Amino acid sequence: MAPSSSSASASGASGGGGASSLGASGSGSAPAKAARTSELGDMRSQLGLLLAPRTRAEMTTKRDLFAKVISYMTQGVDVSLLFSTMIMAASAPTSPALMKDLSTGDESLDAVTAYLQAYNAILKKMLYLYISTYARQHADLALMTVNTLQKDCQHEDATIRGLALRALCGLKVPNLMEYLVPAVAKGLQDRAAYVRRTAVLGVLKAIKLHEATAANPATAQLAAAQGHPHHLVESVKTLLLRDTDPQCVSNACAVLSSLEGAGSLVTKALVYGLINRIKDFNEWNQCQVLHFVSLYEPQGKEETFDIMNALEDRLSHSNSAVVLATAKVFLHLTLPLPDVHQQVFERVKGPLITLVGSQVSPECAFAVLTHLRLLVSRAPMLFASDYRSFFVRASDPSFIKEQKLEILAMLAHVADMSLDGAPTGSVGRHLMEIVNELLEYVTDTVDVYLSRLAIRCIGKILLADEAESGSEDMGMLVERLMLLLSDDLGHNSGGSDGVEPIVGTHVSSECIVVLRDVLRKSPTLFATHCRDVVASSMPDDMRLLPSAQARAAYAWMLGEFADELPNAPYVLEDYVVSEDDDDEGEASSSPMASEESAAVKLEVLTALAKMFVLRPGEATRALNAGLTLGVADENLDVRGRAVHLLRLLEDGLSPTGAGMDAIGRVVWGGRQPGERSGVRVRVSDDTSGSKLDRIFREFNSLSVVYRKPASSFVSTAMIDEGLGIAAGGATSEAAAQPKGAAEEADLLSMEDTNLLVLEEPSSTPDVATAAGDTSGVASGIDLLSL
Amino acid sequence: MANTPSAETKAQLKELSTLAGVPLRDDVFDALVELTYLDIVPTAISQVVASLCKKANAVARSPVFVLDAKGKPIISRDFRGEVAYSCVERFNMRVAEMESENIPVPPIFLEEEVSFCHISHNNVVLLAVCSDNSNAMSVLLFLHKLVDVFKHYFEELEEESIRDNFVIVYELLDEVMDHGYPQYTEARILSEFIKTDAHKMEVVAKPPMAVTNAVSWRSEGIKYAKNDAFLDVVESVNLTVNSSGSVVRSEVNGALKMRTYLSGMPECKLGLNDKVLFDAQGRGGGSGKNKAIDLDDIKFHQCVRLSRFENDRTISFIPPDGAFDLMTYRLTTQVKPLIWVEVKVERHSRTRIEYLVKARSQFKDRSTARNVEILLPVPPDATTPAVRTTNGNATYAPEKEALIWKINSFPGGKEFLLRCKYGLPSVSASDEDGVPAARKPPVQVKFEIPYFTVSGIQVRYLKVIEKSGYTALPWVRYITVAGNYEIRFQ
Repeated sequence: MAPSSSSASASGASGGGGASSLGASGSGSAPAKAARTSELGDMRSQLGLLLAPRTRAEMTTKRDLFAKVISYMTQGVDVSLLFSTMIMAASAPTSPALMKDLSTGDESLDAVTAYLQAYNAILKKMLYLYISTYARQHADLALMTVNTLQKDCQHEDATIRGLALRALCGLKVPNLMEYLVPAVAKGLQDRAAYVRRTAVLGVLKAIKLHEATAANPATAQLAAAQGHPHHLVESVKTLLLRDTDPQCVSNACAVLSSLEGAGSLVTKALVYGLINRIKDFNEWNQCQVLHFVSLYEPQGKEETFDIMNALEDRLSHSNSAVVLATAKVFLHLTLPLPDVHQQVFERVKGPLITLVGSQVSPECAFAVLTHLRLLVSRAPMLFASDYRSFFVRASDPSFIKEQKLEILAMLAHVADMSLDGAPTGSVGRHLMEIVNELLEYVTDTVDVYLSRLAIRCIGKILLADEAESGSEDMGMLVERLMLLLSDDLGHNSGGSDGVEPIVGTHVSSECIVVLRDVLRKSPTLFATHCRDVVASSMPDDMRLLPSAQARAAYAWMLGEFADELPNAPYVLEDYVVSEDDDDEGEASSSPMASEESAAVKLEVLTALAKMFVLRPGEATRALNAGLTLGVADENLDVRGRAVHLLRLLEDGLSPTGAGMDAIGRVVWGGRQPGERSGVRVRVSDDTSGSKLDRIFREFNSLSVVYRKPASSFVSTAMIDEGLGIAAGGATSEAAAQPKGAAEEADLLSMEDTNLLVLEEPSSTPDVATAAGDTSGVASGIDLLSL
Repeated sequence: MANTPSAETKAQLKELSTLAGVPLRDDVFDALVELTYLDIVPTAISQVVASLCKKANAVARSPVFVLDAKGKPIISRDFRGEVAYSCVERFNMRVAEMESENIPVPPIFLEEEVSFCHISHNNVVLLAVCSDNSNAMSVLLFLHKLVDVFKHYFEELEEESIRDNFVIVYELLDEVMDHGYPQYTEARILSEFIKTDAHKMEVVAKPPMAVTNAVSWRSEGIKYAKNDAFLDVVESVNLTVNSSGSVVRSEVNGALKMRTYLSGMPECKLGLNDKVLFDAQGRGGGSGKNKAIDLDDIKFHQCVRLSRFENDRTISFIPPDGAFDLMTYRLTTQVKPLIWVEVKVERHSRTRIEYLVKARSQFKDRSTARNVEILLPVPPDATTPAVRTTNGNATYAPEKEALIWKINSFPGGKEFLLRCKYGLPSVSASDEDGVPAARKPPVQVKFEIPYFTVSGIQVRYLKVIEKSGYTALPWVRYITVAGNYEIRFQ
């Protein structure tokens, strides 16, 4: 079977050289190409000699030659030269001499026939593979094969009939439609199930081919002449109801749902019929069938229970796809019955958590976790006692850790409540267990990513709507964060041998960002404490902070609390004004002018403006330098912000202007300068209820993994198409919604704060000018991307 | 300050967006255009433009690829249409991008309306590409099954075995999936279709399509000279202990693994001990005497007649040929950690550190753990470790940054000690004062305890009945192994 051995035996002298040049995957140098052409020529002549092999040895040689052609084809070598020879060689009749040679041994006649049968099937398979690869490039050659394929569709061996039919359907050449349709029609009536199930899918392929032909202006006429193969669909419908082979039925389901949308198909009789037979189907077909059932709307409560009872045991199936599909059926059937719905949650919870714990496949665990995350977000209470299942193991891949932490963040606030929502006796005990576990991850030196995630997770717990800002627990959490931050800031590195000095590690970088968000949400509660920490442990030189996000967050704090942090103006001044040229205000080498991310520059500019409003005397110099730099910046956003601030100041401070207060309101996003009112922090990945509902409707599909409804990532043409292993019906439901709205939601949900801002453009209601409006948007962004 | 676009430009833009397949609502479109002209949020504009372009892109449709370690396709099969080979490049680019940003690469991700689902095995990556809202779970599971099928044929799935067997791979891919719909993934059934392997051709061909039998997982006419059925009860213990010494998580995953070499269509019956069956029914009336075993999530192989189990708790089935998991279950009740490890770290000076490790077996004396391996992490820059143990051998494995303590036999109720001294270079990367003690990787323990199960599950009988009336020998073994067994220490 190995190509190298066959080349040694078959192609003689040129074999070795040819094979080695092919090893380089056809880089295409002239001599190599010539060598290959001659080798192909050799192969052709050999195949010509072996058209009808006379001995067993010759049969083997012929098969090896075929295999070699296929392996060249896979490596990207063009072997279309051999086209006609291959077809002739594969369809040549068995020579009498061979039969004689074969039957001379002590084998029975049956054994010889079986041997020949298997041998033929292999040759045919290789030929069909070859044909389907080259037919599309050489439509004229494809025509040559039709005869062979048609003949093979009548072959006595069912396997060959099926294979030939599949190859014929796979050619995708518009001209061949007239041969294809009768062959498929005949296949649908075939005795052998193998042929029927191939034919059923052949119907879909034929119709797709027809549609593609009709859509192409060049071939539309041809398609019109051939007509739509409607009658085939009718035969498939009959098969769906009558066929005895489960695979056939399942394929018929798939084809019809793909063509007409599954919804029209789901009748009571069909659903019941399928459920009763479900044990006959193999695992994949069960998924398909279960998907169907999930589309059915039962007439009443009793019917719902009947279906659920019949399917209950599917939850114990060993194929996790079947388990998830069953979970979907249950969840959807019980949507109108809230009580039962809750019980279903309880019922499916166990199997899903087991799947996460099994170490067989992290990828599957990932898929299950994404579904669990959706369920948890819908009913966190029900999972309150299971939080330990989502603790991270050292051996989990990062993508699993990420999912687990997200679920933990959702569970943190419900962990201490009993099912009815009332707090249990042990206040904060479970919450603290979660937090302590998270803190262990933070100090993980091996997995820095986990450590970052853990801090963000703590941030989410703090920022969640349920978080009672005043509660003891939350106070404790902030306390722990502060401790982490000040500890970590003491950790210096670099600073010698030309390495840039850095204060703190990723820990402080993440902590600062979380801290900023906490201060934003409730500026008064922890404010004194936080500000003490900032004042005491944050470095005076912003450059020392380890990451751009941290620097941006620090800049925000300096601006927001300019009136309370005594050294704030000087930190910013050091940042924007160059050290060397202090007097000139020339800032060519200031930190701000150097390579810095735009996000930091934007924050610095806004902070300077805020500072100017509160402490004009101290901030003027820094503001001047900052704006000078900003206006000349190469980043458009930064330039825009600087120009905007400049105009705002010019207009505001002119004799006819609105004065300092008005400027303050703009830069504070509608609040009074220095006002300490918390903003409602919205976490950007917190999806709205209606969107979650849509995703829930598409349970057990990619939507859940991406946390987006299908309409936002599947092009509309595809949505109706239905899918192999999949949720066609659910998506077509989504497509039925007004397209405009879907598209709009799509555009708006892109992960860029600038776009997200569009969702809340009215944060500055009292600013009149267009410029003011956008500035409100720019400085009052209260959306965080965690 | 905003100069509004002319009506003409607007109309052009509108047409462009419709052409691109993005029919925007009028007000949305106007808002976008206005933003564009305001020149305030250039990022937003670029996003809009990018999304317009993306919409116009043609998409690839559901091919399956096998890629080598470098991401180059070795072989591919496209089930619905033209293979867009460029999508592999896109996949590679995105993966490289995520890796460079230190973001973990999820097994499923979306890139320009195309979903990439991938798993890796040895040095190959199996990649399925789909452009519709497929069933995420079944795509991934399908790829895993595909790996199993390949393994069945090639012993091991790796680049070499694929390259040696292009023809079989194509044949397999053709049979496991048609037009994107999974068909059969049972390796044994597939061998009915695929006979390419030269030596298999000599086997007497069976009548084709045993698939149409009532029993889709077993073909007819299997013959063995000696009829054997092996049943292994394997329980694997997952445990996490945190640094303060309390058990954070403890879980046992159990499996009844069978290997059958039986002729014909045998009917098997399995009886488990009453305790387990009793509790599996859900509620225990008088659980006072026997320690209750709470088996969660019992799952059976598809061959088990679930309705029989529901009715009278007998597990009856016609087994597939070869190895399979008959039943799996989970045990969540807290169990005492079987092997407890305590690590005491003594810092004699900046450069000299001593570990005192106590390992205690907390199961009954009549059982003995075998092949115990305790992995003690040490700092990467540790030098000259000197180890003394009361039992077993300890070696320093610098490549794992750990000390491996191997104890071949560890009887129950015993305590073994290990003392290890090692030095650290005098110049340390981290400054000692003020830095919180960095968390070390956890201690990991591996062991196996034969003739012992945590749950106490026992096989009472395993009967094999076949109409030809042969007698088959059932062999039953029990073993408990460490799964994910982690003990964190300060």
